[in-house]
Amino acid sequence: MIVRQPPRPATWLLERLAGTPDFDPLIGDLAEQYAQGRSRFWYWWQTMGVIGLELVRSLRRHGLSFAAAVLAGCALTQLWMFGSSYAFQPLYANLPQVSAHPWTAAALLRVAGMQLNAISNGVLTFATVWLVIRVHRAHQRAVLMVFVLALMGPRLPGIVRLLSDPATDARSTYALVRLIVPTALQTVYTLAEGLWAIRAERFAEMNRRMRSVTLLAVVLSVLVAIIYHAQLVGALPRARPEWIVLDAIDIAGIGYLGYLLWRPRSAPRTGNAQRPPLLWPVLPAGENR
Amino acid sequence: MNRTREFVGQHELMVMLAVLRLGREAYGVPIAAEIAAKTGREMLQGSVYATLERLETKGLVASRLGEATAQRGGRAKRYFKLTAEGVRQVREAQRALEALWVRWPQSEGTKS
Repeated sequence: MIVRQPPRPATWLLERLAGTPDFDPLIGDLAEQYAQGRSRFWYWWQTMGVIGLELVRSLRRHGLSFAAAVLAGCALTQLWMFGSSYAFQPLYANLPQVSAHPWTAAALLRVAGMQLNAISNGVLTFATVWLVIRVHRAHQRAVLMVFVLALMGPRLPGIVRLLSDPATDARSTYALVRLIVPTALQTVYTLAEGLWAIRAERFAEMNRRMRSVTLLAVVLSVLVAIIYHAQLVGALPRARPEWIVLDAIDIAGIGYLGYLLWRPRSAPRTGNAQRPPLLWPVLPAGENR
Repeated sequence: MNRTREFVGQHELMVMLAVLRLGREAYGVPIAAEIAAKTGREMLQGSVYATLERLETKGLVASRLGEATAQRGGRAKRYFKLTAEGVRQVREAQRALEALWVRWPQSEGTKS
C-alpha cells in the first residue's frame, strides 16, 4: 500500500523547531491524518500552530533566561574580540615589509602567532557558546541560532547594500566577497562549535566513514588557516582565486561538521522501552462510561 | 500531596472527557476527532497535546507510547488515560457545573 506522504518541508520544520523526541507522536498524528485525506493546507496550518504554541510556551517559561543567554554571549564576544584584536594587533602590523623577507625567523614567528590567535579565537568562541547554552538549557539549539543571528545581524545591512549594487561593478563584488566570507566563516564556526558543545556525544555515534570525513574537515580547516597566515607574511603566493578556494574549503568542511551535528538523532520510533507501561485499566471498567 | 486546588479549564475538561470516552483508544487523533464531533469545534492538534501535557504535569492524565505504523511515518502513538485523581476532578467539575446549572432555563425564561 502506498502511503500519502505529508509535505516534507513542514515535517522538517516540526522536527527541528518543535525540538524534542516528545513531539514524535504529535508529528505521527499529523502524518496519520494527512494520509487519511487531510489537505496540504491543513498540514501546514497544524505545523504553524504547533510551532507557534511551542514558541509561546517557551517564551513564557524561559523568556528571561533566553534573552540573558543571548545578551551575555554577545557581550562576552565583544569583550574577547576587543581583547584579542588588542593583544594580537602587532602581528598584523607592517606586513608588506615582512613579506619582503618571508623566511626569516621573525616572519615565521608571526605565522605561529597568527595561528595562536586563530586557536585562541576558536577556544573563546567555544567558551562563549558553552556559556550561552548553559544559561539557557531548555532550548539549546534555538538559543544558539538566535545568538548566531544576533552576532551576524549588524553585518547584514552591509551585505544587502552591496548585493543591491549593480552586478557589473567589480569593486562591489570584491567588497561583497570580503564581507560575506568572514561572516560565513564566523557563522559556521560558531554554529559548529555550539552544536559540538550541545551534542559532543554524536561524534561517538557516527560511523567510521563519517568520523573520517569529520576529522578530515577539521584537519583541512587547520591547514587552510596555516596557508592563509603564510600568505599574509608572503611565505606563500597570494592570489584572489586561491583565497576563494581556501575559504570555500574551510566553510564547506566546517559546514559539513555542523550538518552532522545538527541532524536529528535516529531515535527508536517506539518508546515502550523508555517509559514503564501503565497498568490498564486503572479504573474499573464501569468508570469509563 | 498538599497542593492548592485548581479548577480544570474548559479545554482541559473537554480533553479529559474525550480521553474517558475513548478508553484504551485515546491517542491524539481520536481525541481531537471526538472533541470536534461532540462540540463542533476543531482544536489544533498541537493544542490538544499542549493540554494533555499540562494535565500530565498536574497528575490528572498518564501516557504511554504505543505502536508505530507506516501511515504515521514510523512514529509511535502516545496513548493517554485518566489517573484516579483525574477522574475525581472530572466528577467534581461535573458536580460543580450541575449545581451552578440548576434552574438556569427557568431563570432565563422568566426574568426577561
